[in-house]
Amino acid sequence: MNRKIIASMAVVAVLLVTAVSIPMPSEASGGTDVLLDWGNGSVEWAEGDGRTVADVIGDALVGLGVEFEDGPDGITVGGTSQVTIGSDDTGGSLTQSGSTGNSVTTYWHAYVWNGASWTEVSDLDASADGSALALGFYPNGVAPVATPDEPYAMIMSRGDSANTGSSDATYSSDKEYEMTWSDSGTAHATTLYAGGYVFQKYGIDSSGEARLVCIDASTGPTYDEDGNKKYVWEFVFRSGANYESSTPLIVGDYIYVGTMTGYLYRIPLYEGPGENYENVVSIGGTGYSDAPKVENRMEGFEVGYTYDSGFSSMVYDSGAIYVTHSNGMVYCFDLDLNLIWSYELDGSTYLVSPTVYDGYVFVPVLNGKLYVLGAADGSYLVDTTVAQYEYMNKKYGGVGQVAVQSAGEGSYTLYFTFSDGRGMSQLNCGLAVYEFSTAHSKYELNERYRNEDLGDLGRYVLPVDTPEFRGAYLFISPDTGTNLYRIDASGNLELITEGLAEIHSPPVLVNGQYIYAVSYSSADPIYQISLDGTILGVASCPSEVRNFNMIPLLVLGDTVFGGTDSGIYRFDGAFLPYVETTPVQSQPVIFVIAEIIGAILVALAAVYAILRYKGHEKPFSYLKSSFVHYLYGEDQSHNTRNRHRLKFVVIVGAVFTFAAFTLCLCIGSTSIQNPVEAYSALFSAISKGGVGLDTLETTIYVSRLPRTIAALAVGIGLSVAGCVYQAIIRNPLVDPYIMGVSSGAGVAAIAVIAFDFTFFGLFSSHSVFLTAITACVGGLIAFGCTMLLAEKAGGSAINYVLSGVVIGLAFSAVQTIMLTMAGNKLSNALYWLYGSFAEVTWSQVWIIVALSVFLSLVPLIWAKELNLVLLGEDQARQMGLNVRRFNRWMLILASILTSVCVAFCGVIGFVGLVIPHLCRMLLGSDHRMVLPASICFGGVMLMLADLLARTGYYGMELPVGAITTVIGIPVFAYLLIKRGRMYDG
Amino acid sequence: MDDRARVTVSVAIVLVGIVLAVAAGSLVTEAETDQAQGTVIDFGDRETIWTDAELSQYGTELDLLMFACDHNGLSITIDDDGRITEIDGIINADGSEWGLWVIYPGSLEWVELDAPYDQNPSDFTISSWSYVAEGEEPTVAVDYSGNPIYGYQQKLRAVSLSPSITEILASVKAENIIVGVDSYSDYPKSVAEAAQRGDIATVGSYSGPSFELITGTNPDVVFADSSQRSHTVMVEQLRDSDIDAVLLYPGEDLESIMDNIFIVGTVINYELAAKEVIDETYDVIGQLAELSYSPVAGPSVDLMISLEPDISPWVSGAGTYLSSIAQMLNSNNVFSEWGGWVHVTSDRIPYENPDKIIIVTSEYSATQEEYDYLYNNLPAQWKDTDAWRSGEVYVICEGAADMAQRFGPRTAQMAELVAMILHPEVFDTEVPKFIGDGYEQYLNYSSYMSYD
Repeated sequence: MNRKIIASMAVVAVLLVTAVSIPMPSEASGGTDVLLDWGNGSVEWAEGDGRTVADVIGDALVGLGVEFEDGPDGITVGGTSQVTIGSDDTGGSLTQSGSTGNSVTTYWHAYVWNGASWTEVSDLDASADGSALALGFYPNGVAPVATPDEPYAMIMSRGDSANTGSSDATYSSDKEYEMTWSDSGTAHATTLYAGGYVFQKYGIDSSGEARLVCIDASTGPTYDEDGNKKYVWEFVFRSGANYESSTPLIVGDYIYVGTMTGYLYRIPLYEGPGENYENVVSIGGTGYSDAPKVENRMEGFEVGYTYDSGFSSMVYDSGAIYVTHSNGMVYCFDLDLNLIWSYELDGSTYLVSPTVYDGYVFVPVLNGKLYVLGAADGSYLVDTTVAQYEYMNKKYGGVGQVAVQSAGEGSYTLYFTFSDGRGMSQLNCGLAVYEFSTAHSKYELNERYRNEDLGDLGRYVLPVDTPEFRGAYLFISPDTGTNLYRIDASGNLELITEGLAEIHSPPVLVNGQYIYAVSYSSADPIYQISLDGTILGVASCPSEVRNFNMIPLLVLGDTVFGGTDSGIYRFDGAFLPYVETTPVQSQPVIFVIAEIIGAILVALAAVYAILRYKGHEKPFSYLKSSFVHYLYGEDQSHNTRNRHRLKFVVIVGAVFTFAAFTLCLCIGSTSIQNPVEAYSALFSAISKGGVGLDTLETTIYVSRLPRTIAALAVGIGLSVAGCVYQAIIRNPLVDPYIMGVSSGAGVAAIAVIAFDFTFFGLFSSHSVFLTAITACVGGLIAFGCTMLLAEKAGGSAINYVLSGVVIGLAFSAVQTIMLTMAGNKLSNALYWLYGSFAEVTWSQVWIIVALSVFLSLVPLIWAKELNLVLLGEDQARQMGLNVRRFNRWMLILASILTSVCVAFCGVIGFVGLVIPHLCRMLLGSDHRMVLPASICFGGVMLMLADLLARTGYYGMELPVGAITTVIGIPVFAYLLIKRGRMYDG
Repeated sequence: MDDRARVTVSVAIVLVGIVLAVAAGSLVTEAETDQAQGTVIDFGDRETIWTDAELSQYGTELDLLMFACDHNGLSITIDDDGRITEIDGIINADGSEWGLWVIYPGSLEWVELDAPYDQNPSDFTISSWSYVAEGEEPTVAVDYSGNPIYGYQQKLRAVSLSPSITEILASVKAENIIVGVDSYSDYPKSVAEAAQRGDIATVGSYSGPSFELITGTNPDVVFADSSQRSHTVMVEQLRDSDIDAVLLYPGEDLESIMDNIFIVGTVINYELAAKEVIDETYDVIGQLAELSYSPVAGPSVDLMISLEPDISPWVSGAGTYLSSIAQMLNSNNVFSEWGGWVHVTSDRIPYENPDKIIIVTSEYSATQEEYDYLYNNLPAQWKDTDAWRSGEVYVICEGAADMAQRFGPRTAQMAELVAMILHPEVFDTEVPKFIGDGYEQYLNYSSYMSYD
């Protein structure tokens, strides 16, 4: 799917790995377990029988098909008895190519397991007592990391010095995988494993500190009583970099770590750095505080974009550590960090470890070249330019990590990807196969295959060498999807599996059978894929450590370690069988409705049964007649009937409000939840205080809830305002905007939206309240004008109507002119005028609620007076009411209420006109009932209207004012036909 | 309860409501501008180096600069007065000098500060060490909402809320990271098709994006267009939910369009690709301008740009994208006394008497019949112009009309079409009077700048 991206994983990730794990020695057959450690990360277990140590080892190695000889000059395995790295001093240093005169020689050693550690066996003719034996290729004093107790180890970024990314493991569990523990941190370096401990380098935290931690693999980090996290040990260092993406290295009893700031340290593996880091050794045997910094001066050559700088991941082979640095140097150190040789390239290198194979060091460089050096002395053998692209008169290029396969007769097949080396910005990617030939000490690199039209490529390819196939597997993202391909030495590219999720992590190969790859997004699966492309199993990244996944899995049989930007985790158990993914089904509306109807039917049946049981012949007619009697019974007093009706209205209103509210939370344009899900997401969001929400919680708490509450409040406000206006003005056509409030607010809002009016500089132009407050003030100014005019004209209700209409028209005219001049901001202005809850956020909700709900309560207190006014001014006056004063104050109240509603949501019509009428038709004209009913139904109507506005037309916000009209008209028309004859407003 | 008591209660309720509302309002802290932790070294021409740095560790701006230079291996020279005279070999020269420019929180304006540079870096939204010519300003460093454009982690799931932004993302080779677009985004075609298939989510219309649909795509970053108010509000809402959102500038002229491309590229760390698009655009427009002002091209052309051939049409005043492009190509917009799109009275048209008329319309298609119909049925006022009399009425429709209304990476192509209309003498190919979906076939200088 993504070209840049997969390539960019390289930028960030770097590293990585594989689990070099080994089949657990079998208990059954009775032979002695023998470990063959090639001294480059690659190990094998076998069993042997015999009387002496030499016999047992010899027997075991026969099983592995490896030659073994115990001669007078020492042990020879596979034709090799010793290797010396280093040569005469030619002035090599951290900044200058050459050898330093240091050297290290590696021999084959035999070891016997004493129950706690490997002990070297000097006499191979000693009799074997059944204890496990090992044969390891190490300098004196160094023993293998793998042991009979912990046969699995993972000691460098891709498992071995050849960067194969392959490992072995045993699978015994059928139990579905579960997370055992997790730990937080930024994991961009590969997770390492030795002796039952996990070693992880984490990138910087908020204080700028990065760390290397040792974690007990079975328990994870522990916590003390105060909840502070405890590692077995941790080594904290300052890092100025974005990421700490190069992987440390484990050899013998030490772990080596290079930093992105240019330091290299050696730390005792299980003891840790000690107090004040006294156990830490740096380059040249210096202590922690005197550690030399290897500077990142990238002078004299053109470099691509390095997202990071510092030391690359390291590999260990035959007694020496090989590492590159973004300063363009390749270094070879001994195990005490004394420099053996160095070589200066003409370009920067980029955090991936060099590949060391058969005494050759393959170094990809960030100027598009590939170098081959001699591993023993750092001598230059050959280089070639793989990919160079010109950009702004500079040349860029980048070569990915090299996978090597021997082709016999001193020639090797190299597989790698390349790019223009511009990190995140890279534009070109390709795949290449080269042949490296060494015949007659003449070194040559020849291109055998090249393809730049494949799409995005990762930095890592996975060499695979099985009887069926010899070549490399790799993930490629063409325009859509990510696919798994393989390519052989002849350049036959074959598509194996397509349609995977985006993958950035380097793939790993387990048992020569399974490829494991982690999707970049935590929402996508972790794959287990067979070499024929079948997806065998999937797992999901645990919710504790989400996004993004760039490091490879560490597979130790049924135990799997993974890591993301936010931490590492351990799984135990088998992956789930892969099922073709289908989009997550949210509950269809029809089910929600069916559930509700079902519940109602059950309730009705229950009521029926109970009433039948109590002896009523026709339970439903009985219910109906007693209900009608309750509300309309002529034998009850007027007040009792009204009280009953009020109760009924309030109960029904509350139920409706709750139902509409729930519906609004459950239904949205992306998904539909059932009420239980919706409310549980809501409560969990509230308990989190609205911070760190997951997608569903965000949808419900941030997207749906505020506008639903606002719709409820505005619905209440507009209905009450409409009710009051209609009562005072005694005209059925009156709506809350009759006083010109909407036009005034509109003028003010357009002034803000289209003409950047900032209230004379009182507010910054980005203030969330600017439009709202200006609109509110605009509405009140318009009302002020209306009132002034009406009072001058005598202050009667009809004066108010006429003044309101005139003032409203005046402001509308101004509004129209402003719209004409609004130019390309016209649509913005119209959008506001149409009215919408789309822009309501939590910052405004409580203001709307406080004002509109409280102001709406006041008319309830004066319901009786409103009834009087309805009788006509004269009559009301006769009843002792100061009509003028009452009217004036009520109009002011209703106008403020309207202004507030308009201010935040724009002009929403119809609700204020129709809801009061609806309530009057249903309940008569008594405001003691009409007002509470308006409160209930106004809110319901506007909530439902908003629901339709945001879901009605896929993903588009419709103007809510239009929706209220559309859904309101049929109801109104029905009631008008039914009740219109006896209704006079 | 007597009346008095009821009045008291009523007033009390109103007061409680107001007090609660004021309390709720005062609790709202306006979304604070995120401060990017680091500093910019700006070599001009949008060549910048961003350095991440924990600001609290650097007491003064100068400390921060020294760190940045050290970190990037750049040389730096400071004179006795504490002024910067050189960074990375770029030495102060006539008119162009190194200086410290900052943007204060809540502002979009650059302010230049003077040596000694002992200001606290934490006081500013962003600080930029810029090599700037007299009278010019540093490379854009904040988006239209005042948020820094630097310091973002990599972005791999982007949502575009406008067709122009979708085009920008495609042009910087980031089409693959698009996970959501507005319903108007129809270029490049592959994006439109992916949206149709559902591979890319549609997150609402251009004018009305949906918060729920946007968050449903789980984006790393959302790009919005400040010319839409709903976008401005959406950016606030998204940031409140901890989703990175970037508000682009209204693309009213070439500079701000290029700034937008630069911002998009910088935010998602595709700055090199963005730079490439920008350089190519300047390169093409530079060539076009040179041609347009060459002696062969003749004098400045009086131009009218109109939306639809109405009697009293909406025409482009100054400050629109099309007008500013045309201005660079040796032409004079006859309606430049107004700003933006204006609805002009019909008798202004013969009065201004343009030499050429460009009609941008979605009502017509690019066929000879439709053009003839349009041309022959133009209102009388239009016919009373030199443009009509000499047959110099051009119709830009279909896909070309979309391009004309989007501030995006195809600016150079639009400019070439306009240049060909204005000065046909200097071009080998002749552009027809109606330009539609097939506009690319007429292009020569900018033909490679398609992102479809």
